[in-house]
Amino acid sequence: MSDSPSDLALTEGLRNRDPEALELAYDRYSAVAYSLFLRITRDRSVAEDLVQELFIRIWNHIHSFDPARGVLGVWILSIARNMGIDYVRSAHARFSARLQPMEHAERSRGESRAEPEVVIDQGRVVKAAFETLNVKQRQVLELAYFQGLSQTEIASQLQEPLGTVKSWMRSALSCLRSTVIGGGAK
Amino acid sequence: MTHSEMEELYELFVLGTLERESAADIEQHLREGCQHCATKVREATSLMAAFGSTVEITPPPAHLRERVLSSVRPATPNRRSRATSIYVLAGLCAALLAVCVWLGTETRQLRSRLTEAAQERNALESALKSLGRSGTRTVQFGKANQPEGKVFVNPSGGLVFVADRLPRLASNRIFQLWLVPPTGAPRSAGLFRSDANGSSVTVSSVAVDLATTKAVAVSVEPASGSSAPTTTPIIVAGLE
Repeated sequence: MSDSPSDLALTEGLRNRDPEALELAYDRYSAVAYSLFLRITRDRSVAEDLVQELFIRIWNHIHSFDPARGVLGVWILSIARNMGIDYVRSAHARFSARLQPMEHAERSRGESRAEPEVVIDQGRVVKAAFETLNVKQRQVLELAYFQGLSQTEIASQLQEPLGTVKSWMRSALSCLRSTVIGGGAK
Repeated sequence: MTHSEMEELYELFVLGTLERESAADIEQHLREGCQHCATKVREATSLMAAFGSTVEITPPPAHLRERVLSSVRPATPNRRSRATSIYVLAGLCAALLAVCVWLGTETRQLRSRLTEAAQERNALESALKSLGRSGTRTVQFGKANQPEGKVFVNPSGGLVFVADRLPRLASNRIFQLWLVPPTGAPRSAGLFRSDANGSSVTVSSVAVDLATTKAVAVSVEPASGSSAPTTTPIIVAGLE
């Protein structure tokens, strides 16, 4: 997930209120953001609304992003993930969410117009590492990331001891961390 | 909480899923300025974003792009809208120019009306002066369905002619006032037009010798007036 020159240029363009930079940002990050929102909320309409809200936030708060301290894609996906979790945590979402199985959602993996650099770099490595995890490790990680559940909530949902859940979580994160930071991203 | 304990929790910390007490400990530690942990938190943020990016990609619907861009773009003009702005500006300038021309014309018309109003005011002032002078004589004229009105005559101040139900004239015709002596040719006392209602108040400063003026008459004449009546008078107000 390196911050390519084009990402730096994109950041500069957004800071300069260049609408073309906004279009580029949309083309680069909308697919992954939409997919993330869809995975978290399981509602296409909500996911569309959240994508719109996300880009409004990017446009309005780009000056709070410091390229020297982070990567644009990380910043955008962190905002997106928090927005998605905030949404599903809201009382409204609890009542209105349509929990249709994701298997029923239309998918067309190969049709993404612009594959975000964030996916190309660390994302691929993380995905490869994730696939080496056992089912329980994957499950606790997904519940924490996509549903925003704490380890206590995960233990309750899975009806497993808290210590066991913490152990699965620790080992799962350690695997991802060591793969990426330990050189897996080369 | 030790560094090694915290290092296992940074990802959960950035996800906001850490238990409240542990999260508070890390926040406090970061506030104390630990650069090592600040770096670790940034790495955890990056790792979690990378994990989020592994989500199976579902392209957003095509219509969403324009919806999103149009919801954000209005805040600032882009090149296209800058070009549009130039046309809009040019249009505004043209409109402003038209308004200026219109205002100029309107100003001239208003000035003309103001001049006319001033002349009318001066005439009415003269009329009031005439009417206020001693020796003013008033004569009423008119019959049913014919022009009617009054003539105020003052030997030194001239006359004021007030009439209603005057006939509508062609644009090349005008009313002409005459002072009619007992014998000889009438003398012109001025030209006037009526308003849309057929009314007129005309002030003439011509001297009127009551001893030698038998009547005040009005005839319809060519627009430039005549040296002598060319038509039968429509009004004859006797002063005797």
